[in-house]
Amino acid sequence: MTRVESFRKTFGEALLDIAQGNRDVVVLDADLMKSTYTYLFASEYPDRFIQVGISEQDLICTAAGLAIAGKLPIASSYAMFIMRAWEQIRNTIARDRLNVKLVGTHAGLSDYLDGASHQCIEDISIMRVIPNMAVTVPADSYSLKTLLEQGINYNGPFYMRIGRDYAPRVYSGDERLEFGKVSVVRDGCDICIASCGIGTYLSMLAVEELKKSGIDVALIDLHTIKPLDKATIIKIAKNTGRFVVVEEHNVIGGLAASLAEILSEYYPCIIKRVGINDVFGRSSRDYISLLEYYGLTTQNIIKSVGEVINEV
Amino acid sequence: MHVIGQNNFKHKQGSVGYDNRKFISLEKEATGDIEILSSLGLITIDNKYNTPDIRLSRLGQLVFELLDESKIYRSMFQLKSKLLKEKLENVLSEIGNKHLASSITCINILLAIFERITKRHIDGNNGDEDVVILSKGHAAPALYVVMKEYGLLSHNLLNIGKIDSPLQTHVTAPNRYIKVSTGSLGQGLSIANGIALAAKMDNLNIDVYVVLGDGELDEGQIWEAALTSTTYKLDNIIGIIDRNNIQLNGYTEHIKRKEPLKNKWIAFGWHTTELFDPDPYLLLETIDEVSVIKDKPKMIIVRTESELKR
Repeated sequence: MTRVESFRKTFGEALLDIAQGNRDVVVLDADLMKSTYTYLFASEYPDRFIQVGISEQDLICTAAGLAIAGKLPIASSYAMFIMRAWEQIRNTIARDRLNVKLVGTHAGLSDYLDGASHQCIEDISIMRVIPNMAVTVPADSYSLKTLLEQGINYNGPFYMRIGRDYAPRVYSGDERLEFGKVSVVRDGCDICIASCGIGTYLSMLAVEELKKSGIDVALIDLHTIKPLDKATIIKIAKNTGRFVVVEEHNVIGGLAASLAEILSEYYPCIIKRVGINDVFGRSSRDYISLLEYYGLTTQNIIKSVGEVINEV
Repeated sequence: MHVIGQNNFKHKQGSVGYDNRKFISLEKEATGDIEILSSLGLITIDNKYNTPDIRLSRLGQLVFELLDESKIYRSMFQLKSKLLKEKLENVLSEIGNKHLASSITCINILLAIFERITKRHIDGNNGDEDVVILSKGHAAPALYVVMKEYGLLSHNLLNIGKIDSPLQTHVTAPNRYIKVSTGSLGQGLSIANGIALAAKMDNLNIDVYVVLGDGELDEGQIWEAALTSTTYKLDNIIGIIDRNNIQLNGYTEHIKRKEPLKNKWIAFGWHTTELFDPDPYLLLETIDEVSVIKDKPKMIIVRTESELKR
């Protein structure tokens, strides 16, 4: 039975560990600390917690100022509302390569009940086009903690996208995950599924099913969308020759697009996209139904793999 | 010779003149000195009355004005401002006079700030360095001209905007004294808040200056930041608004109303001072005055000449 954890709770707890080892860490919030779990940090380290109220532009630039002064600011909010300050991120944080860590919670469809206004399906795309910006999407709590720690040690602007709660375990906790490197979950030679975030768990289930049908599927977890591990991706492309990409993001501009950009230049091959098909989200009483509504299911991944294998 | 009445000429804030009668009467016992002064033509003595009427001659007035250090300082400062504006015009002509008004009207502001930083540095400020943020980043040429004057920039200003020059037309970091790039408006105050917060955490004794344009105040982020400053009682922030009444497409009050500006900042919890066409010396004095006020961020609204056509 897969253990299911919570992204945001893991994030809140991870901050406590990180803060313990680094006195420069300052956490900033825009009146969402109870939702993002940064309240854990706020109550433990009130002197290192900055509350700017519901003002994301101010949040981003205040973090910038703290970084200029030598602090290690971690600013978090819902992914959607961090995007509200995209221009501040681009012009102040990224342009000056400031050491600010941004964590967007409730990404994708994971804020199921709040609906389209809160569900962010564009952030991978618009964050990765900013020069100097690193973009990561952890698949589970282990990946989140590991990448966050590595992100803290990485000197430069860093964006992490996480879901709200539903975080089934993908990794046992013994794996060596490295920021900037593809994590090969499973080797295979017929086709490769590339995924990130919750997509990796859904893909893992699909891989198990496909194995039963005798299809040898590779699965790579592309937790670091930028900088992208070009060499490994090209190597895998040469082995498998075709891809299905699974992401809880618009099919435009996200992980699939990142892959396509590299492969069309170095090793052109078919890339089938499983994601949100350029439409907005909507409210749902539960998360799984919403993922199903938009085709983010194990069945759909299996179907897509079949289509690619039959076509090519 | 004992220096007569030097104390009378010690700088007093806001006073530029003096009463020469009072001056002389204080020193009337010093008859020997009076003879010397008289022989040098610095004073005139009228013996028509029982008590001699001693007055400064025109020459004497000039000499004593020169002895008034603050006055000399003020004049030199004004001269510097004039020269820098001329230099700035040369620089701006290199780039088609882009954002001319905006650069010209903030020369005095930047001059006062860098003068104060230099002084504080010489006076010893625990080695902590004040920070200047030019939030209205399009006035970069003014910043470069003033920094060059203080020896903080080595590049040839006339190369501004050339493809191989580090001098970008909008403020671009890093430089020891340029901590952050600007150009997109409305972000400087939030950045200043971050630096000020960090300084408080580390018990650093620094002032963070942030120069804002009046047109820039259209940006909502300014007002988000203004409230963060007051929430955290950031008394190490000194904001200065270059109230030149012009923004890109016309007069500020036609494009988006800013007035009553002083009341807005007061309402937002800032200690707010308004200056009308100040020379750089008055600006420097004002910054000195407000810098000691505790528990509140400080805003100085600098209204300049070009604001006439409202």
